[in-house]
Amino acid sequence: MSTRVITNQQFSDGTTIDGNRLEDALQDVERFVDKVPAQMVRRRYTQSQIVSGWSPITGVNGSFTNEHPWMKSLNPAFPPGVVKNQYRLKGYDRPKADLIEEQYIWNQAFSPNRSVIIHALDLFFAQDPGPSPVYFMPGGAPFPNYEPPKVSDIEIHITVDSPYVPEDRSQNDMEIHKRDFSSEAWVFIGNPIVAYQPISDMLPLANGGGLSGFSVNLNELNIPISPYARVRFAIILPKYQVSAPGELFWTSSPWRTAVISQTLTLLEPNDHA
Amino acid sequence: MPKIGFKRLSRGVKLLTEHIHSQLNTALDRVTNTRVDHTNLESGDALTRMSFSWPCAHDRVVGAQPRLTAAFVLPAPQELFRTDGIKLPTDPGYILDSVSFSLDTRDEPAAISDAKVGPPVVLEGSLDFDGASDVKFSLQLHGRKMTHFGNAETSFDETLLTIDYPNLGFNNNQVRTSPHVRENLGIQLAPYSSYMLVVDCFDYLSGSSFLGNSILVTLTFRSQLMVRDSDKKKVQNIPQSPELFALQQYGLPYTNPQTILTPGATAPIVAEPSPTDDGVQGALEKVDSSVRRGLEGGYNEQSRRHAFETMLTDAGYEIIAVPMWGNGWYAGNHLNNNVALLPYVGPAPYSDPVVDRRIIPLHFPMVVHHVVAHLNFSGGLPPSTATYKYEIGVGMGTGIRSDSYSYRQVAHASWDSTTYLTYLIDDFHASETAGVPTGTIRGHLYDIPLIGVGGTGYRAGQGMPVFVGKTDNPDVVRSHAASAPGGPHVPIPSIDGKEQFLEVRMLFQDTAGIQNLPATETMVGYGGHWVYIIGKKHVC
Repeated sequence: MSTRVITNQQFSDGTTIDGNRLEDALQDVERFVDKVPAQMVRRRYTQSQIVSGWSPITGVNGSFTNEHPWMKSLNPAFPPGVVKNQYRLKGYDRPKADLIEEQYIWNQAFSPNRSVIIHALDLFFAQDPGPSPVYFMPGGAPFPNYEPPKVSDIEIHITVDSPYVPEDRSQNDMEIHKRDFSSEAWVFIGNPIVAYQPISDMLPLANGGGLSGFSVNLNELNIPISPYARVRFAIILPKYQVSAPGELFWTSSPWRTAVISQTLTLLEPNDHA
Repeated sequence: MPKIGFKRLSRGVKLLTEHIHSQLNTALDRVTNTRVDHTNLESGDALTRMSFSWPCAHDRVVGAQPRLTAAFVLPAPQELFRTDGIKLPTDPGYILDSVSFSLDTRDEPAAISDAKVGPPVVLEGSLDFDGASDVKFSLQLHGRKMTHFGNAETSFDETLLTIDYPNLGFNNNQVRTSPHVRENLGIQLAPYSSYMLVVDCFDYLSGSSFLGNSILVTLTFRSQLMVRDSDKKKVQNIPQSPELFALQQYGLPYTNPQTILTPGATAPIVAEPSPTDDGVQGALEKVDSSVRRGLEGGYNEQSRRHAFETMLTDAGYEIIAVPMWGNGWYAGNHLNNNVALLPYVGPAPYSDPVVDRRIIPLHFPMVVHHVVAHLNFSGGLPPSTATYKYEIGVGMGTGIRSDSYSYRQVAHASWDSTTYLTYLIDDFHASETAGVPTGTIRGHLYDIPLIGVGGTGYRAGQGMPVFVGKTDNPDVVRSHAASAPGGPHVPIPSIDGKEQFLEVRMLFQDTAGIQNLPATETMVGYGGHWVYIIGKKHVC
């Protein structure tokens, strides 16, 4: 055994117990215990959660299609020289054979002034398993055993802007790109009979019955983020061409198929007083 | 804690055990038994991040000025809460450190256009490069003394922060300020005042037919690390940890106190340890090895202690801002027909409730001490008809890819226009001119009491703090928890020890028909409502 952390002083039989060395060792201990250095606190993070979400407006109001905050994934190629980022993210453009008319992105961003760790991203698409559903996807198992249809065209992105060309999205650092995953693996509650009604409910009672839909939970991501980095986290939904098979599930308004809840969980280090 | 205050060794003094072994024993006891508190840590402050997410800001509604608002409070944890609202110097305070602001402009130096009939027809969400010079915002933070603590005025009389985000930050091709963070603000916030965050979109949106999509503001503030909650008599639903000794269960300290073996009265002081004497080197090694892996405390993701604890203050202040009904409604009755577009609304007179719900995953455990709601009536007056009702609830739930689906209530309140004063803790609007219904910032803060009894807060009789966190099988056993405010302990085996998420629900209903609301009144003000879950989180 030896002292490793607090002091460099070592004492052995057969050597002198020098007063100066003893005093040095004791002062090292005193200094340490009076103000433990940050790096010697093993548990020095606490979590923070960025919560967002809404219940979508359920219809069109005149010329207002009410898809906000979802916006189209492709920026126009004109005016030439004016549009900088025709592609708003990386790796999401799908071949036309998929019959996707357009993809829609919901994109949020923040910038921490200290290093943080992105621990998790949770996306909840809550749908109604009850008899008069407002938020649901056609093409799945019908009421009374509603299950959402199996889809594989939702995408989740977490990217960090380049510090050198921050407005060029082609240079973004791709931290997370989850795509082509089957929603069947991320269904909220697998048994529709269970999903229909909780054993014990909370107040107020929800309109749509129990809880169905998707719960995509990306955990233990362990993504370190530098101070002042510009972090973007985005969800992509598809809008299919009329009469395409995908439109059967997503309808002409894919942003209206679920009540959205999203949480980005961060780990933030403790700070100096 | 005070400094440990070792005695200095003076030249010529006879070396005694009190110079070495006793002093090292004091240090070892502080680490392994008493544990180290925040005053003895180089980084003794926890960071709290409050995030406000608005899906959309627009200018569709006549009479509502496009200013997004979120009023909030930062009440002290229950054991530190003072019902007279007087903060003493020793009470916890909060230092606002940084603000981050961003919105989505489709990654271009442009405004985002709202739908226009034209000609020319413009689709909602289109890019408007000509409008880039109009993209500008102002972010403000105001404070006031709360109605609950005797303030009869209704205005926010203290402006703590104003940050302008000019158009230069949004119309530049090379660098734009979205997102952008301002730091080192150093603004002190108090636990018994209320605050209002305002994102003033007036210059950008007023009369412009533009949109402000995905506006996200995050505030970070520092506060001292605190002692975590423990004891089954003081915390509801806290895990037992049955494998530990009784005095270590239910979150009580889990320590391994150590001592230095001191030589006898006439024994020589030696360097090396022996069975009866740790020796100088052995004593130093004991202290060194107690901190070698770093100080321990808090909980892991399964709500279990990591190891023998050496941190006394291992909890930080937590406040989670949950947006409700924020997707661009201004559901003041006649001014914009969005009432018909509210979810679940049927043909008039629709007398059933409408409910919004948010689901928040539990990754690391926290202890809920207070729940507060901001009901935002900006652009109108609060509902006054006796048939109109609000109901707000927070619950813990289980069911994500599991065999059973269940909830337990954590907080709940329900009121109408005749009973709202029971829960009201702050009443404010932007000017002293009473009865100005339109275009004004206006709102209420409500205390939503926790389940059970025995707690402290804005209202007498709310329940004790409630632990919420995932656990493994051994920690399914929890301390008693109630199922309603003021109610007794009720076991709910389908959820006890199994929570995976928090769910927040907000309901409004008019039994005379939701379209019954008078024209000057609003049920969802501009920018929507907020619910705040306030408590302690733990180091991890």
